[in-house]
Amino acid sequence: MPHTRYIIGFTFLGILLACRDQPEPTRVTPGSGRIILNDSTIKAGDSLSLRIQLSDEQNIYTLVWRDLAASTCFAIRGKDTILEISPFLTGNAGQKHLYLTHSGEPIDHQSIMIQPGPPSNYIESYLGPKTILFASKESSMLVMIPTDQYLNPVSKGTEVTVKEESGESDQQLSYTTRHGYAAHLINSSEHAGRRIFGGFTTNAGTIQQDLLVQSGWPVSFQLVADEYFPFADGRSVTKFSSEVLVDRGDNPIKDGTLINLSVYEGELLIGHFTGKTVNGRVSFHVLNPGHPCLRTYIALSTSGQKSNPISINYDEYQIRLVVRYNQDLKGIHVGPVQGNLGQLVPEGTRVTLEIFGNEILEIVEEELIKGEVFFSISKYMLPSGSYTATVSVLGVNEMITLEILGE
Amino acid sequence: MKKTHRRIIVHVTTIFVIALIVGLFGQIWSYFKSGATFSELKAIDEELWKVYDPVTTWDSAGLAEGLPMDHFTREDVEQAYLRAWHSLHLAGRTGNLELLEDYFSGPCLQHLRHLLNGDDEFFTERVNLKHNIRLNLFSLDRQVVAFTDSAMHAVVRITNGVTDQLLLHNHSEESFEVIMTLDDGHWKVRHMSHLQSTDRAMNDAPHSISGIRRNLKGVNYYPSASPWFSFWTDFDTLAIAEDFELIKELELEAIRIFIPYSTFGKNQVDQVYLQRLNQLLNLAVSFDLLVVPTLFDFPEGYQINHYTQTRRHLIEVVDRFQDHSHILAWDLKNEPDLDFEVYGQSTVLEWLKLMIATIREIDPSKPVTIGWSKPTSAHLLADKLDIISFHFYGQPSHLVTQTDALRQKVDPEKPLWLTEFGKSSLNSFFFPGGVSEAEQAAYIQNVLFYAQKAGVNSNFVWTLHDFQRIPGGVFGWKPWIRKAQKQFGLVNAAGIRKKSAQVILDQEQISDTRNSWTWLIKPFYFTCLLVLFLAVMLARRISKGYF
Repeated sequence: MPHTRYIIGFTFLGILLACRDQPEPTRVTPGSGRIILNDSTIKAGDSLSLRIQLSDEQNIYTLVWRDLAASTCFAIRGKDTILEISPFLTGNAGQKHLYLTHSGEPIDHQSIMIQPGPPSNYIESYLGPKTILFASKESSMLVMIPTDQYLNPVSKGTEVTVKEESGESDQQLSYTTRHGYAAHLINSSEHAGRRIFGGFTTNAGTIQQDLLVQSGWPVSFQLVADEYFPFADGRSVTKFSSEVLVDRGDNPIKDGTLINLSVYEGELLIGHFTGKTVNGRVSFHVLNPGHPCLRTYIALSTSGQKSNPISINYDEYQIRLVVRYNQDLKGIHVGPVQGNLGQLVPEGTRVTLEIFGNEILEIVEEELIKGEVFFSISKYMLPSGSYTATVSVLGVNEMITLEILGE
Repeated sequence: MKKTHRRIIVHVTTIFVIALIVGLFGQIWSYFKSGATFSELKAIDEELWKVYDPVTTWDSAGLAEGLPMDHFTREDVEQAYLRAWHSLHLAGRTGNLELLEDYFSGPCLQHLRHLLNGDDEFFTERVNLKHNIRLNLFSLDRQVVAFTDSAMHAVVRITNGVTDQLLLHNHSEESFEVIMTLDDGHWKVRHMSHLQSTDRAMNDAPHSISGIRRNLKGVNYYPSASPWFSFWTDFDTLAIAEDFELIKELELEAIRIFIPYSTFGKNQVDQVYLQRLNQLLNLAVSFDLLVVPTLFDFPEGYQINHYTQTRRHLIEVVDRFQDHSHILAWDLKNEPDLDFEVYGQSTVLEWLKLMIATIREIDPSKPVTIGWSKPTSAHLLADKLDIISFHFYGQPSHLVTQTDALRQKVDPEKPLWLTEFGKSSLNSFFFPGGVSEAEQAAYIQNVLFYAQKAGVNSNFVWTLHDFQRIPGGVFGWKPWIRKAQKQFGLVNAAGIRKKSAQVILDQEQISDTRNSWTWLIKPFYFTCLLVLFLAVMLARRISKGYF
């Protein structure tokens, strides 16, 4: 192989050429640079023009736009560069920092304050509590947070006006924002009802906020026995109702307010009922006692206000009872059974018949229909003789003698 | 009949095996399909939030509008606010914005999505070290809260995600006006206005060096039976008292001890361990020993996300003992330069700078140092430290040149401390490089001689005891390393002083010395000779045809 040495020689030469260091462009050691800002304060969303001057043209520098937990970086090369910052970055208000860096070392630092724009469109508002008690120490608060079009809370000192409509007097108050918000304190009013609030600035407003001022506790009230039957008839009902309950500002108290009714017999508390107000009134239906007595009824609100006491004397319930023995029909006719007023006793009243000889022979119970009932005794196959029959209705007994004759 | 039986057995066995396989497969399938258990999720959740632990104060000056805030609501608001920031930090670091929805709402959430959805090329890490909250409003219905977070200390680090090049590491003092609302029972940040921020210079300037003790003789200390982590877990005051007596007998004036970061409870420092440290310091008082506590032994990381945790740990430990008369100096970190390779030099140095500034805030009266692993690293942050300290395990004669080189780079007036030096007296039959006790003593004598020559002011020998056992987590599994680490002591595991103890005792009249003749006789050489002898015997037998 006569050419072997040439092949080897050229190969080595090739390797040497390939491995030779490529000439690099002359690098200048990074020097100084500066960021030039026309203005240190701009409005949110404004475009921003930066001028960056560097001491050399070769090196790449980095401009860092620092914002909260995020940064945007721009590679800068050239002695004099104009950089346009878009509203994408300037929309978020607050202080931003600009660092011109090289290899992790800040060369220049500038900061720019982005001020929020004017209030725009909608003012965030929070009203709470939504209900307060009439003429009390309770109060509510309307918090308003006006924002600009980029949703930044507006600058300190922005005027916000609060208007109120409550049906009787309208109010208007102005506040200036501090710490990003304005707060309107609402105290309880003398009248219960709905109060409407709204806040506004020159270009923006809140949504309507409603506050309900609830009536207070009822003051003392009158209770009336609307319907009653003053006899010791356990089936009858005494009906009570109140006038419209009002608080001390004459506001009808709210529906659903609990009122208690206490029932006394003499000094003894024998019953306790609870009712709720509907349309400002409360009513109770209480069964009559089954025995003659004097009852006193007193209604009591949960705040401790009492109604007038109502006393009703329940007399013994008197009835007239006619009992006849009908020899032909072989039965006992009971009726008419009438009450004190001559009225027929209610349908379905139970009538008990007991027939005695030397011992009790039969006990039968029937219901009155239109004040009468007929007991047929032929079916009992009583032997002829004399018997005593007792008819009992509503605690009243009537006794007759039966003479049963043979067929 | 037999055939039928056999068939039945085969079929039953087949069915059983198939059922077993299906059951096993089902178990494996359900295991991989099952999600995390509640306790696992809770642990993950707790771990996620525990790492962010900034110092938060509530400024009670001035009257806020609305209701006075009760303690429970304040805790709720504070926790939600801090978690909001942490979720923002995580979003900046990971690019995952989902977590933001739990702690931000409305316009603020929109702004943040807008900001964080930007450039992926640059990697922004941020952490707030301190919050100072002043309440402005707590609405009457307890649904809106507004406050100013002023003088917030924030750290921002921006790197190029592609090249990993650091673009900015910046400390700033920032103020925010924040409005939070109660959404479905959770406080969320609805508005956050960035009022102002200024670059923050850290107060990390060193003290006047006149008050710092020089010419101290000391020792690195662990008890013989419980070195490293077990020092604190198996704390034994009797053993420590005996050791302190021994240290005094060796005419040493100071000890260097280590505070393991995880054992002490990281940011939630365990009071039990603080109490034990207090007991040790009280013992040091009774024996008139000065103490150099070395903080952050075995930290979990130096990155920005560890800042609040480590800072809280530092505050808790240093604040408790800042007035202690027998703490000589705080050694901030043991050999941080060994972590440069893993975490990056700038990351470690920035963390150290922050910790120096923090320790100066809490305890401005005590000197601060860092125990660099070698003199060639000790110039780092020298302008911020009161004492330049380093370790040396090399050739004694090199100490002078290396110290001279260091002196060129640092303030020559600053004290130079040699906080670790020594040699293991492991002289094993099985491992080469054995050192006799006489050689160990000669090495220590030479280091002391050259240290004196180099103008090193104080020295702390490594270590008082040989150890009975070495924790595996510290030195790995290799027996030649573990065994060597056991035998660096001045006193052996049986409690008998080695020759090196006498050298330490006599160090006032130190001179250089030649290596002891014992280097000629090493157990390992006998092992080599024995192996050689056996090999020759074997060769001869082979040559004679015995095999």
